[in-house]
Amino acid sequence: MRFVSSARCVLAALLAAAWLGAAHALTAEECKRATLPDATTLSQYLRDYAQDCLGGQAAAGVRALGVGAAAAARDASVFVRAWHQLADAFDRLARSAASAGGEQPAQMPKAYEQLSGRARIASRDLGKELAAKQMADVGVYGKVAWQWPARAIVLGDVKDAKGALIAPLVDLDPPLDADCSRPASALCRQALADGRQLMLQLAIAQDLGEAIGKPTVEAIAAQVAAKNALWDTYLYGSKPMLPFDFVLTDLLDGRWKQSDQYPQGFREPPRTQWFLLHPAVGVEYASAAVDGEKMKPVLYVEIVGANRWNPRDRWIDLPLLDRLSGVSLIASYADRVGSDNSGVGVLLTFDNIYSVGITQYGSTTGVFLTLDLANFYRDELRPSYESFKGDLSRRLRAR
Amino acid sequence: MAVHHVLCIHGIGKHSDDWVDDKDDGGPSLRALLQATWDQYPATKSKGAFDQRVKLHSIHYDDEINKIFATWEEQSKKLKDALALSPLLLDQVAWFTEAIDKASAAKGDNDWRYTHLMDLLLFAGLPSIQDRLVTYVGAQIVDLVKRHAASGPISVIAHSMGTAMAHKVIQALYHEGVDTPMGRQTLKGDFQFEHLCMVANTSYALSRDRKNHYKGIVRPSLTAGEGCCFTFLNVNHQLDPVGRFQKFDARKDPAWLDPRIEGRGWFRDLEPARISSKNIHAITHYFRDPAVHIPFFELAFDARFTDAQRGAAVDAFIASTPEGKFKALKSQFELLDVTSKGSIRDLIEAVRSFRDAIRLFS
Repeated sequence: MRFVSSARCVLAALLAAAWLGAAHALTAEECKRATLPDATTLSQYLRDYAQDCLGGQAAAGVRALGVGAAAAARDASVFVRAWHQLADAFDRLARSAASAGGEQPAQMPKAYEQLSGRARIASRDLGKELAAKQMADVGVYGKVAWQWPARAIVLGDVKDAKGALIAPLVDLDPPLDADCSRPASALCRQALADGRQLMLQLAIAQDLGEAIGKPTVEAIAAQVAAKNALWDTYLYGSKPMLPFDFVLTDLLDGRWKQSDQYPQGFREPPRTQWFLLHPAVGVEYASAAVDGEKMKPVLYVEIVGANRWNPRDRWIDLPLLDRLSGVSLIASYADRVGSDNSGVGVLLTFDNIYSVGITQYGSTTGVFLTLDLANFYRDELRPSYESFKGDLSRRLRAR
Repeated sequence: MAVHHVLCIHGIGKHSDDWVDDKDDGGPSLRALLQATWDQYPATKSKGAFDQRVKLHSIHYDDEINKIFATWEEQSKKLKDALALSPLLLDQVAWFTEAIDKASAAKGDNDWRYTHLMDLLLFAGLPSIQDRLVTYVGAQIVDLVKRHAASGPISVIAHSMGTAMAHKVIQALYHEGVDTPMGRQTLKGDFQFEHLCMVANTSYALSRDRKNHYKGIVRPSLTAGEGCCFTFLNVNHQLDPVGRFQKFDARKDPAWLDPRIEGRGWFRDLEPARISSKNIHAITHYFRDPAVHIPFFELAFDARFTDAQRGAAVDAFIASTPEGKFKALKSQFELLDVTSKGSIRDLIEAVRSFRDAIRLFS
């Protein structure tokens, strides 16, 4: 009784382990099996096989076709030959599959012929386009034409730029599963053996497409990275913008009219920054002001202004004058005794950061530097600046 | 063994640069949740260990929103520092500095008006900021495509405002062209995502050009270059207002769905209804439900669930929800029929069972 009870426990544990399943992909033995696992279709097994068993075989296969990075760089036509050889490989599989037919006619030979035809179209089209020095954006030789999803071994159809069909969809699951409708049959054993080769050749085809498309992927990645860097400069390396500035800039740059479906790809920043009611602080000198009031901090508001942040877009393409990046109409406020507190004027900005403003307070004219320019001169003329700062503080405290 | 890279795009709210590893809604992180559910089922475990088979990538943009706001804070501080000696001038600019101060206070308090409203205002309210964020996210994604597309499939999970971001980024990505000596090239013939999972889908609600929303490339397709992916899940909880507001509805344009995709069941509209925690909008709330994670595993990873396994998972989940637990408790109470009992002993037994049921309820 105890033995039976123990055996039952062991059996239960084994069944539980089988049901729960240890975490594993196909093992090396499972990759080489001659018959299908129970309750598994051939298409399911081959999808798992492609994930778990191919390893570096596809890369080796691509190299065997003579398509190494160096070879491709010297002569893109190696790809033309490679596709042709791939087509031959599918032809061989078609012959192998046909030889296995017995009572039940094999379905896969026709599928292999379709694949061979697809590879020959890839070879033909690539050859023609290389000769014409004009490649299609979507071609049968591209990776997507040979990419199959996780759920099924199916290759999508390929159309040309005008929508005409170049290569029809190839669905391999039905013929694969049909040839293994009787898992113990010789047909199924052959289909399984051929199927492993099929997955290798499809992986090689994908890798060929990957290699052809790699320069495009890299160029697009570099282009997007460059646009991202431009945005970094626009936002953090040019004249700082506040919310109203973004609103006006978007309006005047026509951004609201642009589709947010991004039909032209990623957008670069606006060429011109616009400013609306943008407050900032400067240090102003008004010679006509009374003593003690000549040099004062000034709050100014750019009522409206424009700035060309990118040196390549400056208004005046002349030495030194190309440093002029922006101009604004301003209202300013200086807390001065003996003269008007508010004035209007003009602000000129150089290299996004350094600005000089000229304002009129009634009969008094003031010239101010923005803090960044003031800071620049502060660092250059530090002793004078310290003296000025001390004098200013004393005067303000005395009021 | 091919590694499946899953790019995860967050939604509104506070998110770190490694957000898939951060606790979500007070519970486990998205990574921890997906790993735990992967380990639950033979259909997924049989494909190998989660951390060897699947690589999650946190795609982020909250840091960029914070950076933009930080520059406004900095400018406000400069104004206040420079005008500190002149209350008169400071008062003139208070309309700006006080607005920034309020937003800064909200940021410091993790107030939803900063963590959520600011995100939405910047993304949807200022086109150039949107363009910047789309480029920022696009650069992350295309870099990952460049690095990993050769080694295995790449999929996308997007949540809430992240679905609008995903839609715009994928549109931009496939329309980004480079001029080469051999003509203009895009990614259309060279790369296709495996799966797109849009959770609490706001892509239509946050679209300005709605006329063309369903005419683009963000759809599954079996024609090379006409779709961005092979399989697509659109997930909106029946009670989540976010995804249901002007909701994404692919059926609005009959041309959107490739009939061969539909025939294979590779596009699914999921509307889970059960509640397992308070925040039904949280991404982990969605993925906790087998009504979501099972189809995700099936479509993205070809996980093969039997009907029995699916049913058992759903039953177990229902039993774990507050509603399920109360139903179970109610059933236990219903079994405590004392009307036909006569003796005090029967009553004591019934009360003991009643008390045990309450004590064991969790």
